Amino acid sequence: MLKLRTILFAEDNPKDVELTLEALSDHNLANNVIVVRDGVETMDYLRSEGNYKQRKPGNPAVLLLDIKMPRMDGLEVLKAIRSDARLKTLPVVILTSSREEQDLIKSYELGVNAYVVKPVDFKEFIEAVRQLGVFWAVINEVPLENKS
Amino acid sequence: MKIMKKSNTSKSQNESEIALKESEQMYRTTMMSVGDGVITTNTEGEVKLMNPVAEELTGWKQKEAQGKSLEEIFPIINEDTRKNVENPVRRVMREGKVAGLANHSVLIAKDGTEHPITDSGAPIHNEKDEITGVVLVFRDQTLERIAQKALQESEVKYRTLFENAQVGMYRSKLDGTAILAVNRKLAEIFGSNEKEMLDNPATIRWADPNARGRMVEKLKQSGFLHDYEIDILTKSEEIRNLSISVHLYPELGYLEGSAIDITGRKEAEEQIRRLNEELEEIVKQRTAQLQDTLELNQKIINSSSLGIFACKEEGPCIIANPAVARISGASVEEMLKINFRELDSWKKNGLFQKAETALRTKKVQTAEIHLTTSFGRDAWIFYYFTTFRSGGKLHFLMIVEDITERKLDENELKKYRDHLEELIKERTTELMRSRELLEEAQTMAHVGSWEFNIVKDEISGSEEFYRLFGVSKEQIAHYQQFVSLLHKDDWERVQKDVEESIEWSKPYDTDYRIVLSDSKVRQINARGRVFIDDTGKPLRMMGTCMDITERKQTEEEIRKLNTELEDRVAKRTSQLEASNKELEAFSYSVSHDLRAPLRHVSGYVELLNKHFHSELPEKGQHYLNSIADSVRLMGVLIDDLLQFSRTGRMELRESDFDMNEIVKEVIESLGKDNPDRKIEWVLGKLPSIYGDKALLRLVWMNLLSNAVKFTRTGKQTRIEIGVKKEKKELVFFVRDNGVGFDIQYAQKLFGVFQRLHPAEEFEGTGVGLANVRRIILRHGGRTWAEAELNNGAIFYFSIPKKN
Repeated sequence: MLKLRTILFAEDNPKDVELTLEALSDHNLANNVIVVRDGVETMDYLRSEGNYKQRKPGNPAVLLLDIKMPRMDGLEVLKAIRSDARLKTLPVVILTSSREEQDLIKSYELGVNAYVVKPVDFKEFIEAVRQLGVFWAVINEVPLENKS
Repeated sequence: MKIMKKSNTSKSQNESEIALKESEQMYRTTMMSVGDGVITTNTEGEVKLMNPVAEELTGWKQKEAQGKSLEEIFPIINEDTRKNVENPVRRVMREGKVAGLANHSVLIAKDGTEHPITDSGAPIHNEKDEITGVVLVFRDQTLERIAQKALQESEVKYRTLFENAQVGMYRSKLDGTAILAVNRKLAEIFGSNEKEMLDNPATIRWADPNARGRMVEKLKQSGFLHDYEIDILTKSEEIRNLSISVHLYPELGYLEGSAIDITGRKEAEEQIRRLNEELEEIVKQRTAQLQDTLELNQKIINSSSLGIFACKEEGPCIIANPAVARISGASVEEMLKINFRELDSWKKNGLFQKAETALRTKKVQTAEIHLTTSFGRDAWIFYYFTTFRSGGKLHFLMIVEDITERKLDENELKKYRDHLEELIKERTTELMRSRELLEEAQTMAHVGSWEFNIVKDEISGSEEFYRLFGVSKEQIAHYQQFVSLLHKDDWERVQKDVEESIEWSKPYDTDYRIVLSDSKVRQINARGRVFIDDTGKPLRMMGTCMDITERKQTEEEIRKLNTELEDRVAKRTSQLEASNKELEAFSYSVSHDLRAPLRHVSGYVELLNKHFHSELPEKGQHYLNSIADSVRLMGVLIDDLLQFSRTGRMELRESDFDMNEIVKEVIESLGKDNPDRKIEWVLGKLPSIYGDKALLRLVWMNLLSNAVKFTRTGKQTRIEIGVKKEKKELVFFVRDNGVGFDIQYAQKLFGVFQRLHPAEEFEGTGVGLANVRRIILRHGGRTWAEAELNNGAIFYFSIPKKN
């Protein structure tokens, strides 16, 4: 069996968190998910700072990133990651409600790896999240130094 | 690190309710914060809710209005007839569908103030699809009306000025194929009328068919022409000479110009030239006559037996004939060397005093002197002194007669003088007549003529010239007086023009302003040329001047109005841009925030279904399915609405591309989406066009997917796509053999959320064709449709041809 790697999930809405984890758990992908509630917490985790000073070293397999979050939004997080030497190769997937062209353009300009619009229909939503989990946490390969 | 656990039943139900409440709260907030007035009523037409804008416009507060009849809170009348208009809420209740208000409706507020408004009402349905009330949305139009009225007034002002200008004005296409605007004066010049000229560009005719080409060529080089002279043909084949000014607006595809008929001026100038020629001819003739006279004079002097002797006032002799030499006993050459003031013999015999007295008094002096000649002969000599002017100098003439001989014919001299006087009188009369003719011609043409004697610094002019400058002859007799009458700002330039003209003997043509005694300013156009002598020395300048004040004022006014209009357009544009930005921000937040609660409702319903399916009775499952259906529809509606608003705001990215290519792509993708359908596609050859490729692909996607959708109940599907090339546009069409529609609703087809078929039969939100219309409108085209119920439909859209 393939090894399941860590998924870092940045989302401020508890309902979205619950529904997403529900979707992942259907496919046994929920166990390695770490949830952070905003951009600042995301950066703390990635840089092992603040509450995450003691965490096990290494980068997650992928960051699932919401755009609209308090304090520091998704696009700011993406920008910070891409300008940080230790993080710039980290796979980042934007997972958002917005289908706005400007968000898409900005995300790709900042170097996002994928951009997924959350489908309103829950069945489609489950399928989308499942595919993301399987692809990024199981199938995708990353450079050695990124592995946790 | 957090590991989420599965939720239990009560929590999930609770969450579902909260989500629904949140959703409702969202709508209430939206209603309270939109810029339009919103009122909702129950089925009895009694007010339930009002937002702040509605409170402000009606003057009623939500609290006092609640429960009152809508007719009381929202009374509306027709702006023109002042009669009551049926409240749209009543119509919505009666017809059960969205109803708009007639144009020109006025809302009377509680305090009696009136607001022109537009509005519409829509029914509110409950889950059983029963009408539970009406929502009325309306908007204050006062500002739009004022802005529209101001624009109309400015348009009328500009129009009046244009139509009544005493200068011919017109606007035409660059290639001359159409006249876009023409005023009465121009039509008069062409001997036509405005309507005839607008209908037929061939009414503008050039005397020389190649002249227009040359003019356009020149125009293209500089972008404008000023005072360009060109001959035209009037309707009655008369040639007229025009001075035109033209501006080119290549980005607008037209040119604008003004024209003055200068045929009259030309004729006057021609007449002046002819008169000058005649004058010169007369002068030549007179000069020849004078020459003859002089020769005759010399002959008479030489052959006269009277002695003739003349000296300048200061002394030297200028005339001496053989007779006087003979009488004096000297040669003519010796006589001519005499200075009478140094002649001792004259002082002795008293002739010196006689000459002096004649010069001083200008009266004839005579003397008889007895003397002895060098030949020893005694002689009585008669001296006759008179004075004359030559070259501005005083002379005396002395006639000497040897009265000893008493043989002289005294009549000879008298006769000669009479002849001379006669000649001079004749010449003067003719000169006077010429001058009068010239003056008359100038007054008629409102052209003043002038002459500037450069050597003497003297200015003289025709009556019209003094009238134009508003001064007397003495006030403009010298060059510096002329300069002082000019507007200060023109001093330097005009003097430079005059100096250059004199220095290089080049034609002088300049515009300047003069300040009249009442401080009014008059615009003058002056032209002239320099006359030089044989050695190239400039002697005088001659020319004309003309009053062009009115022409300049009209030009200035037009320029001002144009600037004002441009400013207004720029202002309006920036207002529109600002409101576009607001809309963008609004739809962005709708896109983010409205979808999230919907997704949550969908998610929790699904989880409820998944985990507690067996515990739910059949009815409970039916409810859950209905909630899920509505959520799905809401999602589609939000997406469609966002896209519709985006097609109206997005900048067009235009390029040349092949229409066949995108139609084929769309057909291919529709084939994949409907694998079980057998469709006969009839695709005509389509042209390349200039437009936004992505948006036009969306147009084809909407039209062709509609065609596929509405043919699915028939046996054999045939969809035809083609183009008709009209004069000014390309008309594309899609013809299907589907269910069609009732042609009387064709107008409604392209409205937002308008549907002509029940959702159970044919799915869709009714945004597709609204999008089509928006995109085509933005390309400058039109959309329309033809159909018969159960007998297929044809949808058309047009794209204007490129110039």
